Amino acid sequence: MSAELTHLGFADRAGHAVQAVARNPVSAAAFAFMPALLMLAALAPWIIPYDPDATDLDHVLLGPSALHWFGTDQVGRDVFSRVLIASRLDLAIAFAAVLLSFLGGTFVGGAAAFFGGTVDRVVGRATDVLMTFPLFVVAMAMVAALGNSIQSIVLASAVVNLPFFVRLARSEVSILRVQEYVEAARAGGNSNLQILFGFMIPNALPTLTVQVSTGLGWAVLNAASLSFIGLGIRPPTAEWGVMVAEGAANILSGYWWLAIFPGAALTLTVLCFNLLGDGLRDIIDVRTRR
Amino acid sequence: MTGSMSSLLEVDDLAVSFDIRGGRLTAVDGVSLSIRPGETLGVVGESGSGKSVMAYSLVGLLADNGRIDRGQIHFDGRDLRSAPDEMARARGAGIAFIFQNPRAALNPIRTVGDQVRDALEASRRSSRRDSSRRALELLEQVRIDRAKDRFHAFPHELSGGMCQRILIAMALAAEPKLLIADEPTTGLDVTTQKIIMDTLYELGASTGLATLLITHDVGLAARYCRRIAVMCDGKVVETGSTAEVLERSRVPYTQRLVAATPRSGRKLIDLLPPCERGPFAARGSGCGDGPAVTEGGGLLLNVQGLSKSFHTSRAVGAVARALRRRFGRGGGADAGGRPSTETYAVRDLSLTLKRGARLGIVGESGSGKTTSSRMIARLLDQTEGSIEFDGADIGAVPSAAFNRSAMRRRIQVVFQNPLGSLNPRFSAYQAILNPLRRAEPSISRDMQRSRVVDAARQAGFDPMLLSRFPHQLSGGQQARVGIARALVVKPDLLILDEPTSALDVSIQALVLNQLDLLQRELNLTYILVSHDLNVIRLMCDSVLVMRFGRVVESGDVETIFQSPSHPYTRELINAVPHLPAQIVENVL
Amino acid sequence: MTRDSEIWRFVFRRLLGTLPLLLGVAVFTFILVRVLPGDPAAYYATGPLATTDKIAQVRTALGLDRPIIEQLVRYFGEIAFGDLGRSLVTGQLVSRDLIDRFPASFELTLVAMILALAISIPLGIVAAIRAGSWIDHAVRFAGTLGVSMPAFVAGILLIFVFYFKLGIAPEPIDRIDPFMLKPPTVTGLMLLDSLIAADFRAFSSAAGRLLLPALTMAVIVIAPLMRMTRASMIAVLSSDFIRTARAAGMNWWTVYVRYGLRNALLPVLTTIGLVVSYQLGANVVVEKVFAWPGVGSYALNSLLATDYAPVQGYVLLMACVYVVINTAIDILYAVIDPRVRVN
Repeated sequence: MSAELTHLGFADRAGHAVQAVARNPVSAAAFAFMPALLMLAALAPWIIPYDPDATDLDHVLLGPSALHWFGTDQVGRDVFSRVLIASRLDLAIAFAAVLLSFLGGTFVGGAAAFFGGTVDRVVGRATDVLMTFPLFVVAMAMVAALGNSIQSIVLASAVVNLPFFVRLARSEVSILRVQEYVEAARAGGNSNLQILFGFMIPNALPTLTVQVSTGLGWAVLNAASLSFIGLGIRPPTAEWGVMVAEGAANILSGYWWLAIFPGAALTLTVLCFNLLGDGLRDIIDVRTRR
Repeated sequence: MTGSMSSLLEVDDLAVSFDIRGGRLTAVDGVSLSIRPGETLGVVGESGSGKSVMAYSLVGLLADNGRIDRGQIHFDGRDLRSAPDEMARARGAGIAFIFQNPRAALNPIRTVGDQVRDALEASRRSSRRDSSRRALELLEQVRIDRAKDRFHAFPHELSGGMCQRILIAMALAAEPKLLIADEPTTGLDVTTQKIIMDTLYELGASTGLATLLITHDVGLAARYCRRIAVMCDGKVVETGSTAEVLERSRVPYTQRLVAATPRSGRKLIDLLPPCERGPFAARGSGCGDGPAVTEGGGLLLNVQGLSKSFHTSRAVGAVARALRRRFGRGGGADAGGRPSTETYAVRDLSLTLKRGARLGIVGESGSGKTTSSRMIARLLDQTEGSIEFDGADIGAVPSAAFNRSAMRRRIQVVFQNPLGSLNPRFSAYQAILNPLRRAEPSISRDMQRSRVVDAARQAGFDPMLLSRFPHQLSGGQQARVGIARALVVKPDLLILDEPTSALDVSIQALVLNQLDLLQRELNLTYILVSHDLNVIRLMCDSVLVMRFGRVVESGDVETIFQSPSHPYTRELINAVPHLPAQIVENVL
Repeated sequence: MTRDSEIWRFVFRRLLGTLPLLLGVAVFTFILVRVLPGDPAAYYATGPLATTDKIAQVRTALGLDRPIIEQLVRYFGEIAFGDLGRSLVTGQLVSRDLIDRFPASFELTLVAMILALAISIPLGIVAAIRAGSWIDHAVRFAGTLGVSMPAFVAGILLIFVFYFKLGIAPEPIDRIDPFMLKPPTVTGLMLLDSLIAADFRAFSSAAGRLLLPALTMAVIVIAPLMRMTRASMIAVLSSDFIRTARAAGMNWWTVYVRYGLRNALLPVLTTIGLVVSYQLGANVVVEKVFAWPGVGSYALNSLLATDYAPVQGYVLLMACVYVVINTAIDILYAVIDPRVRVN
């Protein structure tokens, strides 16, 4: 009896969530676009028309056409294929980085706020110090220190997101800690760990999920920016930041497609993540306002 | 009905509705009432009756999605609905408004003196130069002592009662003819409430100010209003003089409302309308005027010298003392102003409880009653003192360890805030099940289900609703889930922290009777913590009166009510707006 | 406690509170540079052609063979006196380089922030007043679009459209027409200096070149500022004290500007502090795209040339700038909002 009874609750909440999203057509679009984007990235190697690394010096710097939707670059590679393939790299980096920072940050921030005292103060101070530096600069220095590799970019992007998760987890948990139902849970005989995992984290998840979404956007931006300035991913690897950097040299000669298409892809992807985050935030606000 | 010529405010067939997702919600459905100059009209009703919405609509303070659908509003001869800005002009000029939750109603970043001046200047009753002097006068008129100092204070530095008086001063700035007060004392201590209401009453008497008092507290309306209108579901079900409505009403809803309001001389079961008394009367509950269970119950709880102090820095200690001064009545001298680094929330509390006893702890905010209850429930560690429960020294066990021990299930708590004390992610079933699983982890699924359903039934919660989540339940249902959750582990001692203060009186009547029934059936021992003396009188045999962390008086409930010995107790009893057994016309 | 003394006590406590932060910053920078690859001695020596002996000499001189704690203390001493080392690329003292180039970055960031606020606050207010309408959605979408665009894409796009295609903007090199005489340096801020010298041609040239990079840096932070303005405004408009003000008959200006806006802008103030950090990071990229002679491009070029002393100096400088800005914001906040002065 209890199994089917609890299902009622979930369907009910899902229904309200759908309603909230549907009211904002833009976030609805983002919710729909996200899986499409992920699918494109996953299937890229099989759907691209040309080999992204194949140069063709007879067909350099051709504008967009039916043959080459996004044109060709300075060594004749098909820009469309490169943009599509690059999505795999950038998305993979973003997801890996955010996973790291989410797990690390939530754990550290949540535990610090939960146990309070010196641990909380130390974590707070360390986060403050980290956030005094423009995080992009920290990322730059990290990549310079660790060398130009994908791992270093992932780590650097994780570090850029980390303090936000720590702060968020800390503030969420410290709010939840003084909720009456947490006290009730203690009276019910729950241990600290049970309270943290059964009562607090599930209630903090909505806000954290919003941060995951925006964090994904930042991670993509960060990785691309690092490659653009010459750190991390280097040519001839197909990566959006690298492509924009190569294209920037040519844009003032009028060959705009080299930089604009990867730039648009970047913007579109980050936009999608951000709109997703906004949409999620709207759903949460609706629920908390009930 | 009334002589419309002499009416100050005349409302005729007013209807207000709101635009919400999925349609329109009618909040006020054809309300008519009138107020004569200098008169005090009380509008009473439970939550959802539309009384506040009605008041807001009179001066155009509805939310953006609200709309007056029909009706006439005439104030001082003018039709307030004739032009869009008529209501705006009436505001602050003829009609003044004060709200619930006074501190939030003041601008946090502006001094209170400046805000009163703003109100003065808005009504153009004084020039810039004059407004300071006039503002000071107003502050004194509302009985704010040390007005010169308080003039420059910010809202967060003042107590709730003081903030409400500032709001009254702002309301008076325009020399209004009508004051609308929407639940002005909800959330304030009883003693503060009396001061505010007395102030309002005196102002009415001295300046001829008419008052429209919106409240859910029937006793309050009875004491301060000459006429009462009763609202239910957006309609006025009855209007008349106070005595007529409260004593001789023929309308079922009014009768129910009045019955549910605790008053001296009535019993618990009298709170319920006759049709609902069945299940309780049958089992002999609700009528007890003596101890609920036999004597010979052994000693269950023995608390000695319990104290809780917080080690604070000097600065914080000074602030705390200063706050206590302000929260206290007026600017009285500080008792024992030795600079210390200890702030005591509770000092030297001792009590004993036999099995089956029903103890009440009463006090205002800052009295330490909640802290005491948490310590006894072992959710908070004490600084000094011992707690013995059924022979075991549980005070020696730190709170964290106690929560994991087998003793945990024997002392359970019902919390104050029905919605806030339930995990939003747990269904009612899961919420009730949780403590059971912790206390008896090896119990089978079937056994779990039956225990949860039993507990729900005992608490008066319909088992069909167990799959619902907190936000899908009404306040009364949420409260019952909280009770069921406490009962499922079959505790010996139940601590109830303001279990019904957030509920409407009619729901409260039901829940209290339920609790009484449970207590008899299960031979529960309970400690009821409340600020509401009437509830304590109905539900408890003995009582502790607390103030500033100390017990000022203790003893048998009836004795204390009839002849209190401590001045504070007397003050407390005096401040409660009782519904006397018989209401005499023109009692004011 | 009088209001003024309350504020001064807060200022004092706040300033005191920055000390541990600055300490942490110094330690962190120390660690940061120590993990960068390469032997610092080899780079602090005269050049890449230094002999092993010379390098060893330098190493001893710099104390790099001493225990790490001693190095740390020495490092503190050095930065306390402004000794940030020497740049390999320019050959000058890093502190000299930074001082020379700082005004350019400062002017750029300041103008960018002013632009961002001038756009985001009014838009946020409009979006709040018309919450839920299409204007609201459009404004929010535009903001999100801006923040989703990487700084370098925005910059390149702006250059392409306004310089290449439309020919309106000047060439994206340097702060002023290279063939024009620079106005005498008074503040280092080109716009102010040209005004002071009453040289309006220089002013318009400088302004023209400042516009695109400032716009780029503004676009990427408009979204958070606008979102916060909107949310804060919505919250304040529906608050109890606004209702009281209306009930008391106060006029439109008093209710919505004196009571409403002043309260609503408080969280925006805090957001500015957070956003500055992001802008300072983007500064590096924007200076590269527009060839802006500021500290960002200086640090980047040094990093790519494995010249690490300037990087260290830059990181320290940025952290200090951030601390100064945030402390100023906190103090301003406390002046406006008395609640934060307690406790």
